[in-house]
Amino acid sequence: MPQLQQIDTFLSQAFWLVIAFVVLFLVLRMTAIPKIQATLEARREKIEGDLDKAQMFRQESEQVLAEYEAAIAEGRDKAQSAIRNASEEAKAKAAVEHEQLAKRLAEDIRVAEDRIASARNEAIGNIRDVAADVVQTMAERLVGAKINKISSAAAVDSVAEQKGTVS
Amino acid sequence: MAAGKGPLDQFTIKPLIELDIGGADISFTNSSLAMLITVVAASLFLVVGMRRGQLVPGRWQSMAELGYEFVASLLKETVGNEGRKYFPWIFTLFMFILFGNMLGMIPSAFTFTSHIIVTFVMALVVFIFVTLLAVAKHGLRFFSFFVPPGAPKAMWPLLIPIEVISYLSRPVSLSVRLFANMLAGHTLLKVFAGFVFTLGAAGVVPLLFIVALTGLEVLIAFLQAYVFTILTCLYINDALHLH
Repeated sequence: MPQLQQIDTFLSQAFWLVIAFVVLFLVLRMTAIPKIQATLEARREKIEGDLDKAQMFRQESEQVLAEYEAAIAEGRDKAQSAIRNASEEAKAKAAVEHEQLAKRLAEDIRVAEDRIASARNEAIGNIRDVAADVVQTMAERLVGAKINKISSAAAVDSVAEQKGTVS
Repeated sequence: MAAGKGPLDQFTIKPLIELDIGGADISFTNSSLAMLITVVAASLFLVVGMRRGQLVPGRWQSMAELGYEFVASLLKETVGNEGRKYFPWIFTLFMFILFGNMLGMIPSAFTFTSHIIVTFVMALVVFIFVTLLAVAKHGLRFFSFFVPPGAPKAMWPLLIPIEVISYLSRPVSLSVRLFANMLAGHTLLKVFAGFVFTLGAAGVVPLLFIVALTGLEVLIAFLQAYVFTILTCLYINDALHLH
Protein backbone atom coordinates (compact mmCIF):
# COMPACT_ATOMS: atom_id res chain seq x y z
CA MET A 1 0.00 0.00 0.00
CA PRO A 2 1.69 3.24 -1.09
CA GLN A 3 0.18 5.02 1.90
CA LEU A 4 2.41 3.06 4.25
CA GLN A 5 5.31 2.27 1.90
CA GLN A 6 6.18 5.74 0.62
CA ILE A 7 7.18 6.99 4.04
CA ASP A 8 9.78 9.24 2.42
CA THR A 9 6.94 11.31 0.94
CA PHE A 10 5.29 11.94 4.32
CA LEU A 11 7.15 15.16 4.94
CA SER A 12 6.31 16.51 1.50
CA GLN A 13 2.63 15.60 1.91
CA ALA A 14 2.40 17.16 5.37
CA PHE A 15 4.27 20.25 4.16
CA TRP A 16 1.98 20.82 1.17
CA LEU A 17 -1.06 19.97 3.27
CA VAL A 18 -0.22 22.75 5.71
CA ILE A 19 0.53 25.19 2.86
CA ALA A 20 -2.68 24.33 1.02
CA PHE A 21 -4.83 24.46 4.14
CA VAL A 22 -3.40 27.78 5.30
CA VAL A 23 -3.78 29.29 1.81
CA LEU A 24 -7.41 28.13 1.64
CA PHE A 25 -8.00 29.45 5.15
CA LEU A 26 -6.58 32.86 4.26
CA VAL A 27 -8.54 33.06 1.02
CA LEU A 28 -11.82 32.15 2.71
CA ARG A 29 -11.10 34.30 5.77
CA MET A 30 -10.30 37.35 3.64
CA THR A 31 -12.91 37.08 0.91
CA ALA A 32 -15.64 34.46 0.95
CA ILE A 33 -16.56 34.33 4.65
CA PRO A 34 -17.00 38.09 5.19
CA LYS A 35 -18.84 38.34 1.88
CA ILE A 36 -21.26 35.54 2.79
CA GLN A 37 -21.71 36.98 6.29
CA ALA A 38 -22.44 40.43 4.88
CA THR A 39 -24.88 39.01 2.32
CA LEU A 40 -26.76 36.92 4.89
CA GLU A 41 -26.82 39.85 7.30
CA ALA A 42 -28.10 42.20 4.59
CA ARG A 43 -30.78 39.69 3.65
CA ARG A 44 -31.82 39.23 7.27
CA GLU A 45 -32.03 43.00 7.77
CA LYS A 46 -33.93 43.43 4.52
CA ILE A 47 -36.42 40.74 5.48
CA GLU A 48 -36.87 42.15 8.96
CA GLY A 49 -37.22 45.66 7.55
CA ASP A 50 -39.78 44.45 5.05
CA LEU A 51 -41.69 42.64 7.78
CA ASP A 52 -41.66 45.77 9.93
CA LYS A 53 -42.83 47.82 6.98
CA ALA A 54 -45.55 45.31 6.21
CA GLN A 55 -46.65 45.41 9.84
CA MET A 56 -46.74 49.21 9.69
CA PHE A 57 -48.75 49.20 6.48
CA ARG A 58 -51.12 46.69 7.96
CA GLN A 59 -51.74 48.84 11.01
CA GLU A 60 -52.24 51.84 8.77
CA SER A 61 -54.70 49.98 6.59
CA GLU A 62 -56.54 48.72 9.65
CA GLN A 63 -56.81 52.29 10.89
CA VAL A 64 -58.08 53.47 7.51
CA LEU A 65 -60.58 50.63 7.48
CA ALA A 66 -61.80 51.58 10.95
CA GLU A 67 -62.17 55.20 9.86
CA TYR A 68 -63.99 54.13 6.74
CA GLU A 69 -66.35 51.92 8.71
CA ALA A 70 -67.00 54.73 11.18
CA ALA A 71 -67.74 57.08 8.27
CA ILE A 72 -70.10 54.55 6.75
CA ALA A 73 -71.90 54.05 10.06
CA GLU A 74 -72.19 57.79 10.52
CA GLY A 75 -73.52 58.19 6.98
CA ARG A 76 -76.03 55.44 7.55
CA ASP A 77 -77.23 57.08 10.77
CA LYS A 78 -77.52 60.43 9.00
CA ALA A 79 -79.42 58.87 6.13
CA GLN A 80 -81.78 57.07 8.48
CA SER A 81 -82.50 60.18 10.53
CA ALA A 82 -83.03 62.13 7.31
CA ILE A 83 -85.47 59.50 6.11
CA ARG A 84 -87.25 59.55 9.46
CA ASN A 85 -87.48 63.35 9.46
CA ALA A 86 -88.72 63.42 5.89
CA SER A 87 -91.32 60.75 6.52
CA GLU A 88 -92.51 62.48 9.69
CA GLU A 89 -92.73 65.78 7.87
CA ALA A 90 -94.61 64.15 5.04
CA LYS A 91 -96.98 62.46 7.49
CA ALA A 92 -97.64 65.72 9.30
CA LYS A 93 -98.24 67.50 6.03
CA ALA A 94 -100.52 64.75 4.82
CA ALA A 95 -102.46 64.85 8.10
CA VAL A 96 -102.93 68.64 7.80
CA GLU A 97 -104.03 68.31 4.20
CA HIS A 98 -106.31 65.43 5.06
CA GLU A 99 -107.92 67.50 7.81
CA GLN A 100 -108.37 70.50 5.55
CA LEU A 101 -109.83 68.32 2.82
CA ALA A 102 -112.13 66.63 5.31
CA LYS A 103 -113.28 70.04 6.59
CA ARG A 104 -113.91 71.31 3.08
CA LEU A 105 -115.74 68.14 2.16
CA ALA A 106 -117.84 68.35 5.33
CA GLU A 107 -118.64 71.95 4.47
CA ASP A 108 -119.58 70.95 0.93
CA ILE A 109 -121.70 68.10 2.28
CA ARG A 110 -123.42 70.43 4.71
CA VAL A 111 -124.12 72.98 1.97
CA ALA A 112 -125.41 70.26 -0.31
CA GLU A 113 -127.58 68.78 2.43
CA ASP A 114 -128.98 72.23 3.22
CA ARG A 115 -129.74 72.73 -0.42
CA ILE A 116 -131.39 69.31 -0.59
CA ALA A 117 -133.39 70.00 2.57
CA SER A 118 -134.57 73.36 1.34
CA ALA A 119 -135.39 71.84 -2.04
CA ARG A 120 -137.37 69.14 -0.31
CA ASN A 121 -139.20 71.55 1.93
CA GLU A 122 -139.94 73.63 -1.12
CA ALA A 123 -141.16 70.52 -2.93
CA ILE A 124 -143.28 69.46 0.04
CA GLY A 125 -144.70 72.95 0.25
CA ASN A 126 -145.54 72.86 -3.44
CA ILE A 127 -147.17 69.46 -3.00
CA ARG A 128 -149.45 70.96 -0.28
CA ASP A 129 -150.46 73.78 -2.53
CA VAL A 130 -151.08 71.40 -5.40
CA ALA A 131 -153.04 69.04 -3.07
CA ALA A 132 -155.09 71.97 -1.75
CA ASP A 133 -155.83 73.02 -5.32
CA VAL A 134 -156.78 69.42 -6.18
CA VAL A 135 -159.01 69.22 -3.07
CA GLN A 136 -160.73 72.55 -3.99
CA THR A 137 -161.27 71.54 -7.61
CA MET A 138 -162.49 68.03 -6.77
CA ALA A 139 -164.87 69.30 -4.12
CA GLU A 140 -166.32 71.77 -6.64
CA ARG A 141 -166.66 69.22 -9.40
CA LEU A 142 -167.93 66.33 -7.28
CA VAL A 143 -170.17 68.02 -4.81
CA GLY A 144 -170.34 71.51 -6.16
CA ALA A 145 -169.11 72.87 -2.88
CA LYS A 146 -167.01 75.85 -2.94
CA ILE A 147 -164.17 75.57 -0.50
CA ASN A 148 -161.81 78.34 0.01
CA LYS A 149 -158.12 77.80 -0.26
CA ILE A 150 -157.39 78.03 3.43
CA SER A 151 -159.73 75.25 4.50
CA SER A 152 -158.62 72.93 1.70
CA ALA A 153 -155.04 73.45 2.79
CA ALA A 154 -156.00 72.65 6.37
CA ALA A 155 -157.69 69.46 5.17
CA VAL A 156 -154.60 68.40 3.29
CA ASP A 157 -152.46 69.12 6.34
CA SER A 158 -154.70 67.08 8.65
CA VAL A 159 -154.64 64.11 6.22
CA ALA A 160 -150.92 64.44 5.85
CA GLU A 161 -150.56 64.42 9.64
CA GLN A 162 -152.68 61.25 9.89
CA LYS A 163 -150.67 59.44 7.20
CA GLY A 164 -147.30 60.57 8.56
CA THR A 165 -144.79 62.48 6.66
CA VAL A 166 -144.91 62.57 2.90
CA SER A 167 -141.47 61.33 2.42
CA MET B 1 -1.10 -8.09 -11.48
CA ALA B 2 1.48 -6.23 -13.46
CA ALA B 3 3.35 -3.45 -11.70
CA GLY B 4 1.65 -0.07 -12.01
CA LYS B 5 -1.71 -1.64 -12.85
CA GLY B 6 -2.90 -2.80 -9.42
CA PRO B 7 -5.92 -1.27 -7.72
CA LEU B 8 -3.64 0.31 -5.13
CA ASP B 9 -1.32 1.97 -7.61
CA GLN B 10 -3.70 4.88 -7.97
CA PHE B 11 -2.47 5.98 -4.54
CA THR B 12 1.20 6.14 -5.54
CA ILE B 13 2.86 9.47 -4.81
CA LYS B 14 4.72 10.75 -7.87
CA PRO B 15 6.98 13.75 -7.52
CA LEU B 16 6.29 16.36 -10.16
CA ILE B 17 8.84 18.97 -9.10
CA GLU B 18 11.77 17.86 -7.00
CA LEU B 19 12.28 20.19 -4.05
CA ASP B 20 14.80 19.85 -1.28
CA ILE B 21 15.27 22.24 1.61
CA GLY B 22 18.11 21.49 4.02
CA GLY B 23 18.03 17.81 3.15
CA ALA B 24 14.27 17.57 3.67
CA ASP B 25 12.34 16.28 0.66
CA ILE B 26 9.37 18.55 0.09
CA SER B 27 8.84 17.74 -3.57
CA PHE B 28 5.72 19.03 -5.26
CA THR B 29 3.88 15.78 -5.99
CA ASN B 30 0.59 14.65 -7.56
CA SER B 31 -0.80 14.83 -4.01
CA SER B 32 0.35 18.45 -3.72
CA LEU B 33 -1.21 19.17 -7.11
CA ALA B 34 -4.54 17.69 -5.94
CA MET B 35 -4.37 19.87 -2.83
CA LEU B 36 -3.63 22.90 -4.96
CA ILE B 37 -6.56 22.12 -7.28
CA THR B 38 -8.76 21.64 -4.20
CA VAL B 39 -7.75 25.03 -2.82
CA VAL B 40 -8.36 26.72 -6.17
CA ALA B 41 -11.70 24.94 -6.74
CA ALA B 42 -13.03 25.61 -3.22
CA SER B 43 -11.92 29.26 -3.44
CA LEU B 44 -13.51 29.71 -6.86
CA PHE B 45 -16.69 27.99 -5.73
CA LEU B 46 -17.10 30.34 -2.78
CA VAL B 47 -15.54 33.56 -4.08
CA VAL B 48 -16.99 33.52 -7.59
CA GLY B 49 -20.32 32.19 -6.32
CA MET B 50 -20.56 35.14 -3.94
CA ARG B 51 -19.13 37.77 -6.31
CA ARG B 52 -22.44 39.59 -6.69
CA GLY B 53 -23.74 39.00 -3.17
CA GLN B 54 -27.32 39.34 -4.31
CA LEU B 55 -30.16 39.60 -1.85
CA VAL B 56 -32.03 37.02 -3.90
CA PRO B 57 -29.32 34.47 -4.64
CA GLY B 58 -28.86 32.60 -7.89
CA ARG B 59 -28.16 28.89 -8.01
CA TRP B 60 -24.42 29.14 -7.50
CA GLN B 61 -24.67 31.72 -4.73
CA SER B 62 -27.31 29.54 -3.06
CA MET B 63 -24.91 26.62 -3.00
CA ALA B 64 -22.11 28.74 -1.53
CA GLU B 65 -24.46 30.09 1.13
CA LEU B 66 -25.79 26.60 1.76
CA GLY B 67 -22.24 25.39 2.51
CA TYR B 68 -21.71 28.31 4.86
CA GLU B 69 -24.99 27.86 6.69
CA PHE B 70 -24.51 24.10 6.88
CA VAL B 71 -21.22 24.48 8.74
CA ALA B 72 -22.49 27.43 10.76
CA SER B 73 -25.52 25.52 12.05
CA LEU B 74 -23.37 22.44 12.67
CA LEU B 75 -21.02 24.50 14.83
CA LYS B 76 -23.88 26.26 16.60
CA GLU B 77 -25.67 23.01 17.42
CA THR B 78 -22.60 21.22 18.73
CA VAL B 79 -20.64 24.03 20.41
CA GLY B 80 -23.10 26.91 20.73
CA ASN B 81 -22.34 30.59 20.34
CA GLU B 82 -18.89 30.22 21.93
CA GLY B 83 -17.86 28.31 18.84
CA ARG B 84 -18.33 31.27 16.52
CA LYS B 85 -14.71 32.32 16.70
CA TYR B 86 -13.54 28.94 15.41
CA PHE B 87 -15.91 29.12 12.46
CA PRO B 88 -13.35 30.15 9.78
CA TRP B 89 -11.17 27.16 10.72
CA ILE B 90 -14.05 24.70 10.79
CA PHE B 91 -15.44 26.04 7.53
CA THR B 92 -12.04 25.76 5.86
CA LEU B 93 -11.63 22.24 7.21
CA PHE B 94 -15.03 21.17 5.86
CA MET B 95 -14.51 22.76 2.45
CA PHE B 96 -10.96 21.38 2.15
CA ILE B 97 -11.98 17.79 2.92
CA LEU B 98 -15.23 18.02 0.92
CA PHE B 99 -13.53 19.36 -2.22
CA GLY B 100 -10.59 16.97 -1.75
CA ASN B 101 -12.98 14.02 -1.57
CA MET B 102 -15.25 15.23 -4.38
CA LEU B 103 -12.44 16.07 -6.80
CA GLY B 104 -10.99 12.65 -6.03
CA MET B 105 -14.20 11.16 -7.43
CA ILE B 106 -13.28 12.41 -10.91
CA PRO B 107 -11.84 9.37 -12.69
CA SER B 108 -8.02 9.30 -12.70
CA ALA B 109 -7.87 12.20 -10.25
CA PHE B 110 -5.72 11.83 -7.16
CA THR B 111 -7.44 11.72 -3.76
CA PHE B 112 -5.11 13.20 -1.15
CA THR B 113 -7.55 12.33 1.67
CA SER B 114 -6.89 8.64 0.94
CA HIS B 115 -3.44 9.04 2.50
CA ILE B 116 -3.13 8.30 6.19
CA ILE B 117 -0.40 10.88 6.67
CA VAL B 118 -2.64 13.66 5.36
CA THR B 119 -5.65 12.72 7.47
CA PHE B 120 -3.42 12.03 10.46
CA VAL B 121 -1.76 15.44 10.30
CA MET B 122 -5.19 17.07 10.16
CA ALA B 123 -6.50 14.95 13.04
CA LEU B 124 -3.36 15.55 15.06
CA VAL B 125 -3.61 19.32 14.59
CA VAL B 126 -7.24 19.15 15.70
CA PHE B 127 -6.28 17.00 18.69
CA ILE B 128 -3.43 19.25 19.79
CA PHE B 129 -5.55 22.35 19.27
CA VAL B 130 -8.50 21.10 21.37
CA THR B 131 -6.19 19.83 24.09
CA LEU B 132 -4.39 23.17 24.33
CA LEU B 133 -7.76 24.92 24.24
CA ALA B 134 -9.05 22.82 27.13
CA VAL B 135 -5.90 23.31 29.20
CA ALA B 136 -5.90 27.04 28.50
CA LYS B 137 -9.54 27.34 29.52
CA HIS B 138 -9.68 24.99 32.50
CA GLY B 139 -6.06 24.65 33.65
CA LEU B 140 -5.57 21.57 35.81
CA ARG B 141 -9.30 20.99 35.99
CA PHE B 142 -8.91 19.69 32.43
CA PHE B 143 -7.75 16.40 33.92
CA SER B 144 -11.13 15.93 35.60
CA PHE B 145 -12.28 15.22 32.04
CA PHE B 146 -10.82 11.73 32.45
CA VAL B 147 -13.00 10.98 35.46
CA PRO B 148 -16.55 10.13 34.41
CA PRO B 149 -18.96 12.18 36.53
CA GLY B 150 -20.81 10.19 39.17
CA ALA B 151 -18.49 7.18 38.95
CA PRO B 152 -17.66 5.61 42.33
CA LYS B 153 -14.05 6.16 43.50
CA ALA B 154 -13.42 2.43 43.55
CA MET B 155 -13.92 2.35 39.80
CA TRP B 156 -11.44 5.17 39.08
CA PRO B 157 -8.36 2.98 38.59
CA LEU B 158 -10.27 1.15 35.87
CA LEU B 159 -12.14 4.08 34.31
CA ILE B 160 -9.36 6.66 34.17
CA PRO B 161 -7.03 4.57 31.95
CA ILE B 162 -9.98 3.79 29.65
CA GLU B 163 -10.85 7.47 29.38
CA VAL B 164 -7.22 8.44 28.76
CA ILE B 165 -6.83 5.79 26.06
CA SER B 166 -10.08 6.79 24.41
CA TYR B 167 -8.97 10.43 24.49
CA LEU B 168 -5.56 9.62 23.02
CA SER B 169 -7.09 7.44 20.33
CA ARG B 170 -9.19 10.33 19.05
CA PRO B 171 -6.68 11.49 16.42
CA VAL B 172 -6.19 7.87 15.31
CA SER B 173 -9.88 7.14 14.88
CA LEU B 174 -10.52 10.54 13.32
CA SER B 175 -7.78 10.10 10.73
CA VAL B 176 -8.28 6.39 10.04
CA ARG B 177 -12.02 6.86 9.49
CA LEU B 178 -11.52 9.31 6.63
CA PHE B 179 -8.47 7.57 5.20
CA ALA B 180 -10.02 4.09 5.28
CA ASN B 181 -13.27 5.20 3.71
CA MET B 182 -11.49 6.90 0.85
CA LEU B 183 -9.01 4.05 0.42
CA ALA B 184 -11.69 1.36 0.42
CA GLY B 185 -14.01 3.22 -1.94
CA HIS B 186 -11.39 4.00 -4.53
CA THR B 187 -9.83 0.55 -4.33
CA LEU B 188 -13.23 -1.09 -4.81
CA LEU B 189 -13.96 1.10 -7.82
CA LYS B 190 -10.61 0.19 -9.33
CA VAL B 191 -11.09 -3.55 -8.68
CA PHE B 192 -14.45 -3.52 -10.42
CA ALA B 193 -13.06 -1.37 -13.21
CA GLY B 194 -10.50 -4.17 -13.75
CA PHE B 195 -13.34 -6.72 -14.01
CA VAL B 196 -15.00 -4.66 -16.76
CA PHE B 197 -12.03 -5.32 -19.06
CA THR B 198 -11.27 -8.90 -18.07
CA LEU B 199 -14.91 -10.06 -18.41
CA GLY B 200 -15.36 -8.71 -21.95
CA ALA B 201 -19.04 -8.45 -22.93
CA ALA B 202 -20.16 -9.59 -19.46
CA GLY B 203 -18.23 -6.61 -18.16
CA VAL B 204 -21.48 -4.64 -18.40
CA VAL B 205 -22.44 -6.10 -15.02
CA PRO B 206 -19.47 -4.70 -13.07
CA LEU B 207 -19.82 -1.51 -15.11
CA LEU B 208 -23.37 -1.04 -13.83
CA PHE B 209 -22.08 -1.84 -10.36
CA ILE B 210 -19.44 0.87 -10.73
CA VAL B 211 -22.10 3.38 -11.70
CA ALA B 212 -24.08 2.59 -8.55
CA LEU B 213 -20.90 2.50 -6.45
CA THR B 214 -19.84 5.90 -7.76
CA GLY B 215 -23.10 7.35 -6.48
CA LEU B 216 -22.47 5.76 -3.10
CA GLU B 217 -18.88 7.05 -3.07
CA VAL B 218 -20.08 10.61 -3.76
CA LEU B 219 -22.35 10.26 -0.75
CA ILE B 220 -19.45 8.90 1.34
CA ALA B 221 -17.20 11.72 0.12
CA PHE B 222 -19.70 14.21 1.53
CA LEU B 223 -20.48 12.14 4.62
CA GLN B 224 -16.85 11.75 5.66
CA ALA B 225 -16.21 15.47 5.30
CA TYR B 226 -19.28 16.01 7.48
CA VAL B 227 -18.17 13.42 10.04
CA PHE B 228 -14.65 14.84 10.30
CA THR B 229 -16.11 18.32 10.77
CA ILE B 230 -18.76 17.39 13.32
CA LEU B 231 -16.27 15.35 15.37
CA THR B 232 -13.93 18.33 15.40
CA CYS B 233 -16.83 20.47 16.62
CA LEU B 234 -17.65 17.91 19.33
CA TYR B 235 -14.02 17.86 20.47
CA ILE B 236 -14.06 21.65 20.67
CA ASN B 237 -17.28 21.42 22.68
CA ASP B 238 -15.62 18.92 25.04
CA ALA B 239 -12.64 21.24 25.41
CA LEU B 240 -14.85 24.21 26.23
CA HIS B 241 -17.31 22.49 28.55
CA LEU B 242 -15.41 19.34 29.62
CA HIS B 243 -18.30 17.01 30.41
